[in-house]
Amino acid sequence: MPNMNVQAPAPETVSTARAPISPREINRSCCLPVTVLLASSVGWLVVASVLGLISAIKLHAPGLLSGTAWLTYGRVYPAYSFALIYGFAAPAGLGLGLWILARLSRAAAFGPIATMIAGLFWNFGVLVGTLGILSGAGAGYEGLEVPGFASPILLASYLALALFAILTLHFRSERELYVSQWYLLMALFWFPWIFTTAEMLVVYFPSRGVVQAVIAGWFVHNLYWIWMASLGLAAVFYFLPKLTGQPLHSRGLAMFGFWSLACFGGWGGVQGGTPAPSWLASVSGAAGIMMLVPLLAVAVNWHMTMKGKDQKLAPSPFLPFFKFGAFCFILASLLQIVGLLRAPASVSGHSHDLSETVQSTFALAFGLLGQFAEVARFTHYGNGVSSLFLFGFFAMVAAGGIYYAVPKLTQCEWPAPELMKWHFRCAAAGAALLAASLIIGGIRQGAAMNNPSLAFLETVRSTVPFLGLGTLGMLLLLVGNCALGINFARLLLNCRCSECCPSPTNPGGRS
Amino acid sequence: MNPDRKHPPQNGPSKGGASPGSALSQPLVETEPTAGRAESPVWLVVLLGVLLFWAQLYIENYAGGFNPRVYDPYRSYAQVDAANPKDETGELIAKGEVLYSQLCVACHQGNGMGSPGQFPPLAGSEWVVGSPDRLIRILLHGPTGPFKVKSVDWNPATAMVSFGSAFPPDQVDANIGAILTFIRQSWGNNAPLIKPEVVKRVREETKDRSAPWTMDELLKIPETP
Amino acid sequence: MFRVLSVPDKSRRAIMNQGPLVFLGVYLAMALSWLGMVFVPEMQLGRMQETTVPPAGGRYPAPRSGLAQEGRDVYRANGCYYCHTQQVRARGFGADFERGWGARHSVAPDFLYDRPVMLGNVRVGPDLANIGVRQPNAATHLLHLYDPQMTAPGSTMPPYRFLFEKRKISGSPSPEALKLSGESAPEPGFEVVPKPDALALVAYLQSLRADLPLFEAPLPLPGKKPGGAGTTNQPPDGTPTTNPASGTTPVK
Repeated sequence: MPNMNVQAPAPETVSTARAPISPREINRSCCLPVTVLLASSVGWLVVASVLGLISAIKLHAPGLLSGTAWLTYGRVYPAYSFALIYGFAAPAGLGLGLWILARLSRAAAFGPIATMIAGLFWNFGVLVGTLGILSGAGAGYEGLEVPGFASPILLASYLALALFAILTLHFRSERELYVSQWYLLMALFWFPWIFTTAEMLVVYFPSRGVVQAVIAGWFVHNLYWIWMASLGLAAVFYFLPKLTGQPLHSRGLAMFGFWSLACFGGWGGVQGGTPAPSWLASVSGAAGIMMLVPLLAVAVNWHMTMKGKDQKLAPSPFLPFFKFGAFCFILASLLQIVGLLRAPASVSGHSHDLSETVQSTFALAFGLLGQFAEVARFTHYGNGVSSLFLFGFFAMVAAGGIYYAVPKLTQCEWPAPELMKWHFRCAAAGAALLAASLIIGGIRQGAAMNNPSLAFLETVRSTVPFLGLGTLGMLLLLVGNCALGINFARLLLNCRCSECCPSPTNPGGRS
Repeated sequence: MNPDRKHPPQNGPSKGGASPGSALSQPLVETEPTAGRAESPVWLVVLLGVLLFWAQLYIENYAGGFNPRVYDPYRSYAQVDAANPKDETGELIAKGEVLYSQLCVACHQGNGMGSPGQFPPLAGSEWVVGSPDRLIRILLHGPTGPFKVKSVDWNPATAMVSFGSAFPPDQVDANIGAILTFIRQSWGNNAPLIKPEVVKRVREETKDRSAPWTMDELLKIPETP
Repeated sequence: MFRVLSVPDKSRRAIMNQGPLVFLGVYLAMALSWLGMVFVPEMQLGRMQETTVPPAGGRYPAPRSGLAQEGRDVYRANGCYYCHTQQVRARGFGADFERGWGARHSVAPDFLYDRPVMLGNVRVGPDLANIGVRQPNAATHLLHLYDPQMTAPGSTMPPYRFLFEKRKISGSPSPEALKLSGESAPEPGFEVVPKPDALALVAYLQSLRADLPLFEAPLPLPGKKPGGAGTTNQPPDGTPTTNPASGTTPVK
């Protein structure tokens, strides 16, 4: 019998605690803002998938749609990336996060109407940003493309969303904080700071010279490996124990993983070869290797949770999404770590009285990783790892959360449950194909590029088959995402919305 | 209105499955996940320690001392400095400035203007920016008698001392070259450096002479091309 | 798995249950990363001025002309940096030098006046840091932009025809008209003329050069590898060079 763990509020906390409410009432309070956020995220996911398919085709068939400036690769690709991260990942992560926060806090969502309006504003900002990028107003940094006129809209909406989420947490009746709530706190706080810093020092009042690129790289690294990772990890930590019926293996280990992620995850962004002083690449590389610790902490925790001894539930149809997503997170993190470190072949540890064995062991480790990074640098490898992260981890986890949460929120079932299976199959296959083709193709491209006897055009030609496979993967992703989009649209059209918008004759909605 | 068949049955809260009728053993009441109490594995903490040690080793070797002028592949500022071509003029000026402040500033002053009636100026002096052969001889053996500097006659009661024997033999060329390069590049003067090799050549040429030079004698020495 | 962390369970739970304490810890972690990766680089490099070129002492970098600055904006607006990099790695790291992409590695002073600094991350096309040295001819650049297959067969660079204008020849052909042949040539009586954006972009490309030696990036002597690759504790030989190489023959 799974334990309920609902506590009555202790007397000293009665000032900020509200009376505990049922999950059903929490769902009802969250219905409007979270459904709006999730629906808009799915819409942008489909848009991003279309843009992504166009840019994938252009990589190996550059003549496609090349007649107009609005659809040139250099604009479509950043528009795809922007729509995917800010249009899909942000609302999906924040929407699910808000719901998870409310459920774990056993508190109703604070200010649902205002939250919904903030979410709509966010979408407006994404629309302005995407159109701005396609029209050529991008800021000029990969990952920080949002035009200067769109970022205040995004920042203001985010601050409002974060404020309401924090207030929801503040008025919680469950005093104990679960792991997901820590990660959500981190995500809610981290984004405004890195975003403001990046916009101020790179776009509005640019620093001198290469510092702009350093800050932009730092921003993108934090965006993926702290912010999006936190949103995704919060969801996995919530759903994996919940859907398997097992308690999370270890709270202490989760704490260890959380703090090590916070400590080491924010220092990346400068890779070898960047025209910045070598200490920046060294610090980024060292911090990247340290990320092995939170990665393993999280992996062990999940693995032991899945092997838990409590009586198992029937396999949930949503579990594959989270298992696949968890696996892709581990894999993407590992690939990111090994692809990062730059190091010449030898180590001069003359300042240490270390034994030769220790020194040569480290030298071997440095050397191998460094040589691999030399091959992977400036190739499609990095894009492959990002694709694995975005589509293999984040999109799958978000989709699983959407499939689980929306029926609970709206009290309407999915009109075509079999489409969920097809979404999973297509999206999983597509993500795997896209990531594998870019990663393997990138390694081959790097090896060819580092061989000066091969003409550069040869290296380009050698990647074309892999880019073709990548396009196929992108196509599968589009099909899968469209399945989700169709399902969601039909649900919204058929649903009576009585949960979200209580009618005058039935103020509490359906009972 | 039409009984919406997409809504779950009215009795009982929603179940955990997507399609009604499946997942019989999903809990009737939704529960939130809880965290267990297992201990963190010690090997992970050991790994953290090992990686931290490795990281500090890596940063010590490859961070170039956090110096903003050290880029890959150089590992320290000293390596960058060693890889750069030597700036001979700059080094000579730096050394010459120190020697000047010790040996010459008492008479010719820190601003190179000398002292009216006593010590001629070096700033703008044709002797300083002119032929190195003449200038080196002035320093090696000293000037004597009246000199015309910048259209002004000078005949100080105290003659300038010679510096040819003021330095140990292994330093005299470098030091004289340094002082002369310094005065040729200061106070608006802009004449090329005087290398120690040139000083050595002049020293060889005049090794039999110890008397100071008069202006007429110096003017007879041809300008070096 | 062994037992570790024998701190009493209750106190651990208490700390991690306080929202403000978790927030404080996250804030500290964030502040440290901001200090290390944003603040310190800004202090170290943010007030960089022009630097001198050893040993002669000229000033570097020269600011780009107005047309080249407009071209930089065209480069940004069309996202050229998604396929081209502008950073040359040092010798011993990759084959950038052997491919003739630069005489020395790229350093911070190369980008002093640029906003934005478009370093690029993927080399779908070759590195452009010294393209002004490798390819100073404007006509070749214009041809490459109009029809990349003419100048680089098999390239996956898209044609940028929207930077050009096909118009009827009025009177005599314009001197700016592209000399096209084959499939991409316009029909008789028409000519292809670059728009101002194309000319600006080409001016920017022609201004891309980073081959002067600097203190941070002296030109290494031929045959000697600078730094640690392949060497042990010895610093590299500091024999001075007096004649910096003026660029290498491009390896295609």
